[in-house]
Amino acid sequence: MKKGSFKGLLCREFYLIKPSIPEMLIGTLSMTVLSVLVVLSFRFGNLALIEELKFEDFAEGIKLFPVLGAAMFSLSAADATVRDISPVWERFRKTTPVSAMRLALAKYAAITIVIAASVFLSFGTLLMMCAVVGTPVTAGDIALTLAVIAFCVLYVVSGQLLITYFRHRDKGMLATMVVLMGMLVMIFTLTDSFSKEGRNTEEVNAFVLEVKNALVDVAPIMVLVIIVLICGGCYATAMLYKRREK
Amino acid sequence: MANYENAIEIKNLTKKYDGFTLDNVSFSVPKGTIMGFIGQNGAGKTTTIRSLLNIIKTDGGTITMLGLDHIKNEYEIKEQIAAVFDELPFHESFNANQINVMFSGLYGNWNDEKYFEYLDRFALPRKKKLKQFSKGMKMKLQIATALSHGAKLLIMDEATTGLDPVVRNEILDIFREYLQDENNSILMSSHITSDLEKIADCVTFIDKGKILLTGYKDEILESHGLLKCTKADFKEIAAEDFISARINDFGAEVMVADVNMAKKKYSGATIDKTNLEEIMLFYVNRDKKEWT
Repeated sequence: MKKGSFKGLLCREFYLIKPSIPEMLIGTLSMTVLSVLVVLSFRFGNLALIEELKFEDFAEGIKLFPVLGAAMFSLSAADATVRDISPVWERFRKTTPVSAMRLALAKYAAITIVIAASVFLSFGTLLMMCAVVGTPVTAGDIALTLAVIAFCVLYVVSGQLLITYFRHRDKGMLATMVVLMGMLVMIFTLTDSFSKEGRNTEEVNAFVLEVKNALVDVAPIMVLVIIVLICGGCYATAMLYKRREK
Repeated sequence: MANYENAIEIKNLTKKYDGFTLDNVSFSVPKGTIMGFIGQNGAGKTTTIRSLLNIIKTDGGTITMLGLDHIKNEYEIKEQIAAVFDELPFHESFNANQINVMFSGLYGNWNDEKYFEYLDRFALPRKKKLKQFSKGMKMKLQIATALSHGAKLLIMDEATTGLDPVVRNEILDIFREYLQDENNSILMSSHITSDLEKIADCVTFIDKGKILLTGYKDEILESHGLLKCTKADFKEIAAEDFISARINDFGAEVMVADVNMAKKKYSGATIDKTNLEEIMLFYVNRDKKEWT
């Protein structure tokens, strides 16, 4: 039996992702421009006139801000999941000769491409921001960028799985938020990050540096986590696609 | 490819839900015919179709499609069939060109030339988003996709519901053309009996999860008749001789399943020809026997 082209299935996924791409790119660009303007203002503009504000106290935060935006580009894959969920498509899909695994592979191939684009954008933005701020790219910067990307991947994969599991956009998104919030609370509790009292804006740099130092050691694990999330998500999606209606 | 006489054969299909049971459903769709699958909303048409397509798990019975087992040979069957639903299953941000690319991934024998021929024939725009399509255009698009991968069997679930008569007629013409190849068959579920009256070769009537009638449409229409008589004469008719009777101020209309028998037994009565809608109506009220 001749199978349909994988390209056709992959294209379908991109048609679902496509409407989110412009808004994600605009978001990334806006955050980058805003950060560059803040740096310029600290150097030559109004912020330089305020004696209490020292650029060095905010440099790490300013550098991180657009990188967050670039990493969030991968969330366009989560938007596609929201668009994809429809009882009529679910039913129709089961009348076609495409296997659940092939459909899941196409979906995760598209997700992987979006994540790769997001990684490229994030590190590109990081390099640019380091040049603008005037600091070298450190292992901590790379680790923090990786951590943000890993978190976005976790959001995309858990959102995709939970929406598919519940066959309902709102229930799926709610469950995703609960899972992610739970994980964040757990991470912050385990790492004792809330124990220092009296954090204020002047400590932004110190806090970011503290986080970066902590992340450097676990950076290789995060790459592994991203790979496991994508592979596990693909397999679990295929299993969910195999379910039949009651 | 398997040799087969019936495009679909369902034997003793059972599916239990709370408050509804598809009860030993059996019928077949002969190859080269169009089967009208009729019944009220909630009668079990969609459940039967979902069982056929292996969308839901059944509790019993066997199903063969195109001579193959619907579970063991699921993918082989699905390459050769097409399902059309009452709603468009594609995202509304897609356009007809994108649907073409998508279907090349769904079916190995997708024929894009044929698909574009259908688009031109139905005057469907290629670049317009589906959200800008009318209901009739959406249905034509679904039919274009269904007919562009060499499907031997079309399964339509309430596909003509909500369409205006002009579009419905256009669609029925396409089906007539499709059936000119005697290897092709259609199962068409609908509660619009007038469409099926025009096009169907066979009819299966389902009510409350049970098959009440199945067979060639002409035979069903010939064997059934509407006996008209006074209320006094109606009392003389034996209960086993009729399906149900509609009583009004002027007398009684009695649906008989065996016109020849009724003509002999009740020689003075007038027996008119009937149609699928009336047959359906009288069968639905069979438990009450007499209704107004």
